[in-house]
Amino acid sequence: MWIISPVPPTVLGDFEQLVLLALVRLGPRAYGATIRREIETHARREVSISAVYTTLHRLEQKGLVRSRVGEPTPERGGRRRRHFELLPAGARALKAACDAFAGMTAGLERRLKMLG
Amino acid sequence: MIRLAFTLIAFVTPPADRESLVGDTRERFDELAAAVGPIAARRWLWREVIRVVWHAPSHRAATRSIGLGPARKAIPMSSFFSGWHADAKQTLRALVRSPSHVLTAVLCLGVGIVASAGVFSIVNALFYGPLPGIADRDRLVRVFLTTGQPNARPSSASTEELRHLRAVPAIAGSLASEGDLGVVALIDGETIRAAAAFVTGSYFRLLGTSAARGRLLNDDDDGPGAEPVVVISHAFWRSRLAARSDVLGQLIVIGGRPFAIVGVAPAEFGGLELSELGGAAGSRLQFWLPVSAAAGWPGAPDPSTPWHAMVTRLGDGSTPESTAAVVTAAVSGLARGTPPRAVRAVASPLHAGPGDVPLDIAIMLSLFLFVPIAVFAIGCANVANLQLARATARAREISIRLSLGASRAGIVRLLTIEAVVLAAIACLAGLAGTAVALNVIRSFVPLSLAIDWRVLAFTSALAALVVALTGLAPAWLAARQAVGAGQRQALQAGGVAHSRLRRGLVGLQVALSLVLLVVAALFGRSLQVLHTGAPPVTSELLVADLNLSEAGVPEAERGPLLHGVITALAADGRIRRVAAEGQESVRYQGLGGGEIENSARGRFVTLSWFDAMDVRPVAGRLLTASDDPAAVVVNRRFAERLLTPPREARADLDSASARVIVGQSFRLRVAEQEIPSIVQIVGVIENAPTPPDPHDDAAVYLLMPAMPPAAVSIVLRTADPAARLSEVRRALTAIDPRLPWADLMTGEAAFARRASPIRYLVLAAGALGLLALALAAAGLYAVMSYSVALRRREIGVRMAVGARPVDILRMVLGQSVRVVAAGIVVGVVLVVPLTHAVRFLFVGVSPLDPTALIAPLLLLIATALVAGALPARRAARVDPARALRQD
Repeated sequence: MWIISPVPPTVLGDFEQLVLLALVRLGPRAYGATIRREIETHARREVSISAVYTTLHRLEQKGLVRSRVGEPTPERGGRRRRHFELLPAGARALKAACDAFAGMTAGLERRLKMLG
Repeated sequence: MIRLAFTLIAFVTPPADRESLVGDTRERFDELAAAVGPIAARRWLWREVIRVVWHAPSHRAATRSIGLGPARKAIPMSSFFSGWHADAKQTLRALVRSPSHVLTAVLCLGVGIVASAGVFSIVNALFYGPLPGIADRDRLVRVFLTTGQPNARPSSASTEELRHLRAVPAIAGSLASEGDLGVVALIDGETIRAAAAFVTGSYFRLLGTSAARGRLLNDDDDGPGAEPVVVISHAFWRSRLAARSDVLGQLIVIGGRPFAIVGVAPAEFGGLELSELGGAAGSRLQFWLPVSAAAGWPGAPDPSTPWHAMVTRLGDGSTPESTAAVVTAAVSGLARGTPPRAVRAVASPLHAGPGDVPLDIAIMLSLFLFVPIAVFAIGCANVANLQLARATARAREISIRLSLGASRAGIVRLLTIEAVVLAAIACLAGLAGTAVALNVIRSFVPLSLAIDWRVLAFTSALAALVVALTGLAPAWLAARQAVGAGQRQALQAGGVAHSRLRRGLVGLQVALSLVLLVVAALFGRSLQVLHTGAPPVTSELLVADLNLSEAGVPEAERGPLLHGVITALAADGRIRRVAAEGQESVRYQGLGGGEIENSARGRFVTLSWFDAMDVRPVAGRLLTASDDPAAVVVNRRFAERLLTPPREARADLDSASARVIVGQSFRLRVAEQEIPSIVQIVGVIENAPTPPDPHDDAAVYLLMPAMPPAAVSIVLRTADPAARLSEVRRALTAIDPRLPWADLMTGEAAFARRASPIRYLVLAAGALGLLALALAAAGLYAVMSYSVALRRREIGVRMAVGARPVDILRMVLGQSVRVVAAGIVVGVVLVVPLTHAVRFLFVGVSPLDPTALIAPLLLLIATALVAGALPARRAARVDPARALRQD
């Protein structure tokens, strides 16, 4: 049976999904350094900070996240952070992507495990 | 080092993210330093620098897309990295948008680079470069003998002198010689004419030549009682012997004697003498024979005639002067000339000696070197004009950029990139053109031609400098002062002050191209006359060129042999006429007497010749069997010369004067022929060329003497000569197998072959003329474009007060027409005396031939109109409102 949503959610790239998931995990603590750390720790993948920023700006342009510049903090040489926040459209897109992934992997757990 | 890494990251990051991104990096670095130690952290940091730099362009694009970064504008130097991308794109777009500008600039500079680099590469190869098959040419010296008298030219050694020198033990081993001679060879049953060199046994050892196959000649081959052996050229081996591997030991009959092939010379090896530029491959040496075989060779120069070119290799510490002193000591006691004078030697580097580069060649060489430099200079001047025109037109664009916030440094950088790209394209085109040109030339001359990189680098650098300086002029002005009125005035001041010079230059280019085009057209007309001017009888002729002395026919046998050939061929009923002709240069004195001797063509003909050629007398009669040897027939041109002393304008000979001259006697001298010194004219004939000779210059016709000249042509008149070629060849070989009948061909082929040198001249002059035309058109286009760019405001004002576009078109086009008209006047003034001076080069065409003058003129005017119309059209399209608002 085909389920066609009335408004097709934005299709997300692989790295965009990782960044959005990091935002969900981090909540209000999300900024460049923590997002990168989340991806590196959980996805076990070394990424460059500019790649993270590039992707965040792209998501921002699509209206999926928004950013604000925080107050100066004493650590990191007094430099301000740029905080990122998930928007409802971003949440919908992420949900759709995760659903698609879950739908495709449903019932495959044992076989995927056997793939190594 | 850590600080440098962070500075680099900050440098390439867009300003909007700079603070937070550097902070994030710092945070991560501190974390890592605490967790895995400072060294691993530092390693990570540098990896991160590379990743951030790599991502910088896309990061910048992403910040721009959400309005965080600046809009597209010139970027401050601090963000040099991504600015580079934008500038390169901008440059490409600017160049693609003006293809005519790029094309013209590349053409002008490329042609200059090709001409300079090509010519200097040739000269370099000729005098300094390695020669094919010759090792260390700079240690080789040519040795000449002279008497040291003021008018004695150093020359080669005679056979006697060479024998004397080779008897001196101190010299014998270190001296080599080469005497070139035309020979007749019999190969695979076919007789051919070839060029041979008689060389000493030391020759190949001294030159450092190694054989392509087999071995070369050595001292044993040159001794008494040696087996007769020959070394053949690589080209001969490939073309005549099909590059067979079993040629060693095979016999060739050369000059009537069998020689065994012992080896093949290396490819392109051509001996000591360079063959003529454009010379056919057949004029290059094909055989090397031991000099001992030259004794008693048919047709060899007599023992006192200089013909052995001598060469020696400098040992350690010796110089050409010391070598000359040693040889002078060895030849003391010998004498040459009348009265005999003591011989002494001079030595000079290979191909740079007194025998090789006489004054006229030196003058030609300097002209040869001057022309490409002139072409290059004209090209540079044209490009400078073009670039200035473009700069003026772009002043507005630059001012807009500046007012939108572009930095001056950014503008300078943009223009620099444009200039560099343009210069690079021109240099690449020049390099490719030079490579192609040298490849073409390589097929004409046996030289190891390589691109002269120093000249190429120099001309390319100069071209780049011209482009860069003229391309940066507006940037420099923009960086110095506020854009607007100031810049425009500065540019206009420069433009007006030099505009006369520029137009003068273009006028000269027009004049030069007209001269070259007219010369090319005259050669073209000559060629046309040669093709259409062949008399109708040509299509019925077979011509056999024959050199009796090369064939080894003794002088006493020449007459009977020729007579026998003519009688035998005439017996064949299908051959209507058989005649023979031989040419010698003659000297004569005019009817007015005086001591001045003039030279003309002397043609010795058999009685049947006039009939075979359909020649009819204009006045008097033709030669008959009852005439004594003092009776001559002259052609119309000779009669004209005889009547009027030289250096005076010659009137066309009317028939009354032609009748007057019949019966007159004049003094005639022919070298080596027993001709009465006073001869009497019995008749006058037309100037028409007679096959196989395409020329119709002044000639005197004499009866074939008892001893014919060494070189004669036998002409056979028969229907459908092409079909009978092989049959006649067999018949001739049956008469006497010694004769080299390979040169048997139809009259039309013989006529065309003698016209072929003119074809080279047509090609050379035509190519140069078209080149000059292209440069002149480019120059006109550049100057007019610049002028229109400068006068944009003035044109706007004119249109605002009522001028129509067609008026503007007429005004600008009028300016081009004046420049071109001045150039044409100068060109005509130059071309008339020039073509008159070299009129002997043209066959059957007056130097004032209307077609040859008018056709280039029309071509030039048409090209100039197109080149001038493009800027004029641009001027006519000026929008007055915009032109006026600009200031």
